[in-house]
Amino acid sequence: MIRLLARLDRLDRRWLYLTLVVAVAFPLFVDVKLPSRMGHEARGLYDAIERLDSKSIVLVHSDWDAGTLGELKGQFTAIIAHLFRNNIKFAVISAIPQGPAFSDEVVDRLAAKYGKKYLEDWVQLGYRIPTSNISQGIQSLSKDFRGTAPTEIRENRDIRTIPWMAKVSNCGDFDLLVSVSYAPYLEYIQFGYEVYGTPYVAGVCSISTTNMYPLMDAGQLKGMLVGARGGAEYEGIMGLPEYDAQMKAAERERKTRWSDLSYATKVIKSQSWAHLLLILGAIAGNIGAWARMKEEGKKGK
Amino acid sequence: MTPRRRLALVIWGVVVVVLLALGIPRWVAYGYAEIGVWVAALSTLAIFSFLYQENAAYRLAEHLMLGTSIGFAIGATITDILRPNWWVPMVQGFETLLRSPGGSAEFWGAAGAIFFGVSAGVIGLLWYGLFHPKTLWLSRLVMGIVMGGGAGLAIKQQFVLNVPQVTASFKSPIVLNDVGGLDAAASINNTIFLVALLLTINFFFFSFDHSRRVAEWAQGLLDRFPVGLRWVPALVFMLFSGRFWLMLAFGVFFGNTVMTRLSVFIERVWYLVDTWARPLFSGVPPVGQ
Repeated sequence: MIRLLARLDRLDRRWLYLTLVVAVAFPLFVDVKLPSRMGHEARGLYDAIERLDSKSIVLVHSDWDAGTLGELKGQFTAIIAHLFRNNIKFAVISAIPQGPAFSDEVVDRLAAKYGKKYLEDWVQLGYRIPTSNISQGIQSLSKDFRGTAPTEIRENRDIRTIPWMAKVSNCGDFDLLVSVSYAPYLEYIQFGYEVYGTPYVAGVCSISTTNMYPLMDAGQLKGMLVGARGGAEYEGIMGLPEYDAQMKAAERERKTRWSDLSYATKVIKSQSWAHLLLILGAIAGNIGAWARMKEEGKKGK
Repeated sequence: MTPRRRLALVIWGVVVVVLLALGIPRWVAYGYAEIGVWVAALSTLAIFSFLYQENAAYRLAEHLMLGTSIGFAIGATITDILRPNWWVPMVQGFETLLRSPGGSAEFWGAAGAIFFGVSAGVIGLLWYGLFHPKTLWLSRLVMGIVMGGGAGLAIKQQFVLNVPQVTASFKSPIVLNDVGGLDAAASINNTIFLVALLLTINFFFFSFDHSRRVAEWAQGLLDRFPVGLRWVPALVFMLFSGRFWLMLAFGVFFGNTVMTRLSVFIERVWYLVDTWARPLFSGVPPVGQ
C-alpha cells in the first residue's frame, strides 16, 4: 500500500495537465448549476451604475484581450448590458492596440440585443492611451479629453459633433469612470476622482484584487468585479445566463453558432472543477510525499 | 530510427491526414473565417506542446506571437495615437498659419500647435540616441524628463492615493447600528482588522531584533519593577504574529494568482474544444458566419 501511495509522489506532471484539460472542458458537455451570490464588491459597481440616469454619460476603459479574456470578457459584457438596459450613453476607450477589436465584438452583439445605435447610444474612441505610458496618457485624458481622443474611430467624426459628447472636455464631464483591465488604473482615482469627483469603478483580474481592498475601504474605488467570479455574479443579476440558454436552444436548431453573453458564468464552472482537481492534487501529492518518506525510512532501516 | 520514433511519426502522420480531411472542405466552404480558427487552434496547440517538452513547434508559435503583436502595436500606435494626436494637429497648424493674418488669435493658436508638435517630435527622437555611443548623452536628456515627470506623479500619488487609505484604517472596534444597538458582525470585522494592522506594522518595526531573546530582555526590564507578571509569551506572540497575517495575505495573493492563470487556460481549452473541434464534427459554421 505504501509503495502504491509513494508512486503519487513520482507521478509525471503531464498526467496532471491532461486531467486539468478534461476538468475544465467538462462543463462544456455537462451543465452543472452552481449557486451565485453577489458580493459587496460587485454590488458597489452595480449600485454605481444604478445611481445614474438616462442623461448620464460613462467612460468605459476596455483593456482586455486574448490574455485576459477568460476573466474580463464576462465582466465587460455584463457592464455594457447594464448600461444599455438603463439607457445610459457611453464611450469606449483603450490603452492596448488590440482592445477595440475585442470590445467591439461584445458591444455590437449587445447593441443588437437592446436595439441601440452607434453614435446615438455609444461611441468607440479606439486605442488612444499609449501602452508604454499609461499614467501620463490617463492624466492627459483627464485634463484634455478632446485633445487626447479627438475623434471616434468608425466614421472618424470629431467628438464635438456628437451631441451627447459635445460637452465633454475633461473627466469631470463624465458621470462615471469604468475600467475593465488586468489591474485597476489608479490614475483614474488620482486624476479623475480626486480632482473632479467623478466616481471610479473597475473590473479586474483576480490576481490584482488583493491590494485593491484598501482603496474600496477608503471609498476611492466605488465597486470592483473580482475576476470571473465578479463577472458571473454580475451576469446573474443581469439575467444573461437565462438569455444565453434561450439563444443556445434556438440557434442550435438553426445549426448556427450560439451566443455567449454569459461567458463568466461558464468560466466559473470550469474554474470550480479545476480548483477541486488542484485541491485533490495537493492532497494526493502530500500523501505521496509522506508515503515516499516512510518507504525510504523503511529501506534505511 | 528507433521503433518508438517510427510509431510516433506514424501516429502524427495519421493525425495530420485526418485533420486535413476534416479541415479542407471547411476551408473551402467558409474561407478566411475558418482558416483563422485553424491558425489560432494550431498556434494554441503548438504553445501547449511545451507542457510535454520543449520543441520546434513551440518556438515557432512563440516567435510568431511576438512578431505579430509587436508589428500590430507599432501599426496601431502610428494610426491611432501618433497620427491623430501629433501629426494631424501639427500639419493643420502649418496650414492655418499660412492662411491666417499674422498676430491674430488663430495665428498664435496654430503657432502653438506647431511649437508643441515639433518639440514633441524632437524630444521623442532623442530616445534614438541610445543606439550610438557618441549620441548616448542625448537620450539621457529625454530620460531625465521622463524620470522627473514620473517622480512628480509618484509623489502626488503618495498623497492622493495613500493618505485616504491611512485615514480609512482608523476604524472603531465598536460599531453601532441604525437603532443604536451593537452591530456585532461589523465590530468583529473592525477588531480583526485593527489587530492585523497593528501586528503587521509591528512586524515591520526593524529597530530591534525580532527574537525571543528580545522578549526576554524586555521581561528583564519589567522584572526590575514589582509588577510580578510574565509578559514574555505575549511579547513573543506580538513579535511573530505579524508574520502570520502576512502569510495569510500571501496565501490570498497566491489563490488569486491561480484563479487568473486558470482562467487563461480555461479560455484556450474552450477555444480548442468549442470553437475548433466541436464544429468539425457537428457541422456548425465558424464564429462570425
